[in-house]
Amino acid sequence: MSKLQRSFSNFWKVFRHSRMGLVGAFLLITMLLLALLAPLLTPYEPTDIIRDAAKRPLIYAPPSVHPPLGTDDAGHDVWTLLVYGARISLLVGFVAGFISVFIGSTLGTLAGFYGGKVDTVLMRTTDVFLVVPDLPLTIILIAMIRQLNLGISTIAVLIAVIGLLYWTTTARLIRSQVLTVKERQFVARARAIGAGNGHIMRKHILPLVLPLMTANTVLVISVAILVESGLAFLGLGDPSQPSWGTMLHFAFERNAISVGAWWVYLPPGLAIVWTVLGCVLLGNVLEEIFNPRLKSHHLEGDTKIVAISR
Amino acid sequence: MNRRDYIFRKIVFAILTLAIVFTINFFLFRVLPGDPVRAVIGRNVPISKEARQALYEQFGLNKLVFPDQYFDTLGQYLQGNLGVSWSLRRPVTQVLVAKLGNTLLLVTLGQFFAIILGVTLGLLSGWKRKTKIDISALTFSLIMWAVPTFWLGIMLLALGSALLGLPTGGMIDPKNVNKPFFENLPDVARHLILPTLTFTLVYMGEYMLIMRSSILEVLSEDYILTAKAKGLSHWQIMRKHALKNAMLPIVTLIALNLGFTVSGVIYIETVFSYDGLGKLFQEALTKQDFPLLQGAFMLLALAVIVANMLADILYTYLDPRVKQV
Amino acid sequence: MFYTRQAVRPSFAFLACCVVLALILAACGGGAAPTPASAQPTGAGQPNPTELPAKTEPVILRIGWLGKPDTLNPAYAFLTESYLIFDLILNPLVTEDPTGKYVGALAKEWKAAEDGLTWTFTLKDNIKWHAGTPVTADDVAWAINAVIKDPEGWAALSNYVAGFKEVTAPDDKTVQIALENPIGNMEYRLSFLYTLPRKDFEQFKTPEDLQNFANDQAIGTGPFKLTQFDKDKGILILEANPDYFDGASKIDQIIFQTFDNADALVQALKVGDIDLVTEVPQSAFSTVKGFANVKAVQTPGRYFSEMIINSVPEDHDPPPTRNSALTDPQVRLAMAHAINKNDLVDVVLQGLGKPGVTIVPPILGGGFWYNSDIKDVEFDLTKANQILEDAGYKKGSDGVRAKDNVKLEFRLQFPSDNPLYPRAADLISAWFKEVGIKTTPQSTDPDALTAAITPVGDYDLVLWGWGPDPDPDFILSVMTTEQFVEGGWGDSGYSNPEYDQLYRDQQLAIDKTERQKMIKKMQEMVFNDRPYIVTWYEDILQAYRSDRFKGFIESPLGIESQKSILQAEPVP
Repeated sequence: MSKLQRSFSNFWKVFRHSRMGLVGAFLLITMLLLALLAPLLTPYEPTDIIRDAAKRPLIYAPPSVHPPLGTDDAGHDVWTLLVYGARISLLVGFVAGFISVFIGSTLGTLAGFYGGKVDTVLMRTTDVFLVVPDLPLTIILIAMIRQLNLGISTIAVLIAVIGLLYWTTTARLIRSQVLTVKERQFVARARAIGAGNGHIMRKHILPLVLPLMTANTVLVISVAILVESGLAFLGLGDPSQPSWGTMLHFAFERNAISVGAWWVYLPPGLAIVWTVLGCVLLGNVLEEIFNPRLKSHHLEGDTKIVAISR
Repeated sequence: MNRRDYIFRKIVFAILTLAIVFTINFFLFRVLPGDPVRAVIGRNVPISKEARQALYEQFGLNKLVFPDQYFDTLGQYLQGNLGVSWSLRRPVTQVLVAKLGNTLLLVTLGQFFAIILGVTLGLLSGWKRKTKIDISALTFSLIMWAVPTFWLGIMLLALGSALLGLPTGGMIDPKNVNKPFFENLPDVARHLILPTLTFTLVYMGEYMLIMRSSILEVLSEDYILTAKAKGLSHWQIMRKHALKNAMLPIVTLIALNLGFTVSGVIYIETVFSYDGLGKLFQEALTKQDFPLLQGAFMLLALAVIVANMLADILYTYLDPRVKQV
Repeated sequence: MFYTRQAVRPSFAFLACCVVLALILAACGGGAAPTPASAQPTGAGQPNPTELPAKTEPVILRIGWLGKPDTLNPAYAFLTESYLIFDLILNPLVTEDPTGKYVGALAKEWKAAEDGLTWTFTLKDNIKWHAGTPVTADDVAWAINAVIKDPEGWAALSNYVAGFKEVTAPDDKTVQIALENPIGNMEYRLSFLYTLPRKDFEQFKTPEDLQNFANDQAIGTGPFKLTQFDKDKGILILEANPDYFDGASKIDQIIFQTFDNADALVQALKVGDIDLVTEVPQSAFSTVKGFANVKAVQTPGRYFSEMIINSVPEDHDPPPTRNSALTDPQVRLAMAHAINKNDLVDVVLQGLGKPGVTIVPPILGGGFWYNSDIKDVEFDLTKANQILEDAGYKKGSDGVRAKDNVKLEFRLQFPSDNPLYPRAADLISAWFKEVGIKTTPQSTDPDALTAAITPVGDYDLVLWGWGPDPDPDFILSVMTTEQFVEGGWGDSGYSNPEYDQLYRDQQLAIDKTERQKMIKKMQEMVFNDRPYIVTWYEDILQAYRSDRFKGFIESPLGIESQKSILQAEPVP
């Protein structure tokens, strides 16, 4: 059994006892499957218009008329939009999440490992980003980039901006982890036998930070999905590649509330909650397993939920 | 380092942060494509060559972007002049000030309920850990965390207006718009119910989670064990030792939270067409009114940065340990 | 001149440098500049509705709308909302009635001289200002002369006096207008030249001063008086003018309330907080129809939307930036075949409109100007494919057609402030994809879009719309060469000397049928050359509480127009 396999089986032993973790994994995996299998789950394309017998588009048809989830203001099949929307929402969430974690971990590792001036500069920068209200900044950046007409697709702009702005919590988390790891004996030993900084980081620090990074990625993805849905709701999404947020944007703009078309605004919201909840449950449990801090307190005793901020 | 140095450092940091925000704002604006005169006067105004030249000089656009224009603009901002809104044709500062009160009202109410409920729930759930209370409070908070603010708003809007006949938006019924202020209070209150509820639900989850982990942290300290050994009851321990210490981080966290309160304000005001800064920001976005967008951003950033600074300073007075940082 | 681009609903595209300057000075100098419109009039002369003598309950009509006037100064008002208020508080000499004919407003009768160079108007009796003093022919003449003399200051109205020489008042009841050349659509032009009080408007020395005048205590001659305009609260209150020369309205007070959100507007109508909605969004119309005690009104309107195809001549300065394949008539024809206008109407307008054909909507002049002989290109994807194939555009491996290394790949832009266009762009892109044309829909700020289009010509395809004037002159002018300049209304860059000549000729034609012939010919030219593919004509969607009011006239002018409101009365 390789080292990796062993550590995985150790992990599994702990993980399978965590009900929250299992629920989270279930939620996330079902949604991933939905996104991957989208073309198999529906006979339509997101752009298709559903028509009645007289070939006229079916506008705001309730689920009873057009199962399973009715149609929206443009006669699109809501179920189709939902499963294809999962692709866009998850794509933005995952890629932007990875970018964020990459930036955050790099900065955090550098700051923690080198300390001193590097640490001060990087952490002050992080502090600045931490206090600047991120949603307005995100909105302004996206609006500006659009004005520039750079020919970059809307989705790519969303991914880039979210990825570049939401790394601060990761940077802080990873930095503190690196700080503890750095003091361990085997690192000191490696240094004593003359190992270079790069070697120490790769061989000794990274493997110990990696699990925590994985846990954090899952959490950051949930943030990215929420941010994307909000931006798309405000009209910054790509209407030709509708995500869940875009669906809600059109529902709101095209008076689905007045019309009473709950089948248009309920499913995408539930899908977001489903996915984000999956990420949060999974991420918290992973973080707990990989970052064992307080296991109990003196008036009671059990595992702990780590609060995270958006 | 003594407290004065600490406070001084916090103030310097706040000013530095503001300067960075201003710089980002300034250069983003210059990056906009097209003629800078157009960017100032709006895109569609027929204008003669002479008038254009005059404007060019008026706005100092013939000068270097950096340092001349940069410091000119900085000077204007410091005087409270944030430029003129393209879409409303009024000074941005004037527009922002007009909306500030409404937003403060919503934020104050929302935060008040969120803090009261969130902190209480958090304390309870940390103390009674692993009980039904804890698990349901946790589940609730986690779900609230996962719910997008704007969608919660939409759902409450749909339910509240259909089932309870609550107003769907605005601050006041049109029929009351000309009545004196005090007669309208009940109506304003009715309009505030749904936005405040959304705000409270979204943020109480976070406060609950923060409070819970804070109280857990405190309860795992050794002095709690000591207190327990002395034979104090759980309630006495909570009251005498845990509560005070657990409240400390909450104070700063509430101030830190202001930053993402801003996002909540943008979504909630948009959904409920509530006439405040958040809706103004969303409208400026829709109309691509960049001076207004940037002015609003500066104001929001200023509010958050100052609140953070104050919280940091307040903390030194509340937590004796911070005295010698 | 409410031909603001329809898409820019509250469009403030016009922002004069002087206004900005004044505001900036105000912001720096701290209050030395003119107070903005928000300054609320108080004290005497502002009767508070609650303090009215309690003889009978006053009849109040509450109107909810999504916009508000940009200014109440006709010299510089560009929004439809402003003109709606002018219609109620001011009067021109003649005005359009609900059937599309011109009838006297201040004028009892009028006639043109044989040569068409002099027009003589006789005023009605008992015309008074809201202040109570009588209106003389001198007053009417002064107001029109003011526009003739200072076209720069009266920017919003100056187009209407082009060709006017002078206005005189031979006696108290007669107004004479001398022209430089005959004018074919004289009545239409006069219908925007309001009679305004000389003492309020003659004090301004520069065009900027005139334009900065808010006029928010406007005095006029109309059936309603302005009592309050609070721009910040979005309220405008009018009160009936009991001495109105054509008979006072049965409605005592009108309150206009601006709503920020269509759902709230619809809800307010449902519960009876408002009595009339000037603009119901398409997507909520079927719901409004189902409300109890509410009458939903659907009338054909003047608004249309189009897809603009970059038609800027190669030798234009600056030269256009576009995909050169757009100049190929076969490509244009194929695109016309690939747009399903019926679907656009059904999906985008929720069925509340008609497929578009020419740039003159069928409703103008009661249908008189519309060229009904034009047969629209039918939606046929196979045919569109065939046309492109025959013209030499072959499909590449990516499914996109190309000829001589020019790919059929176009930008498809639309203004960001209208929820209709993203849906339309989606549909069009999907059809174009079927015929091997790749389009990238892109929402763009309306002002930035205007800047990129006129006179730069940096675009491929643009979805946008117009709300033409009641007379076809304006919408026809949009397609002339001379409008494709900075500050002009042109956008397609269409340049056809024959069309331009016809445009000038129709302006001079006094004979209506002769003018009609020219205008029909012009529509044909635009249809065949396709600088525009007109996608749809929008219906006007309005609603009112039928349990509170009756008698509104349903017409393209809207149920809130002067003629309609004067007919309306409360339900007992």
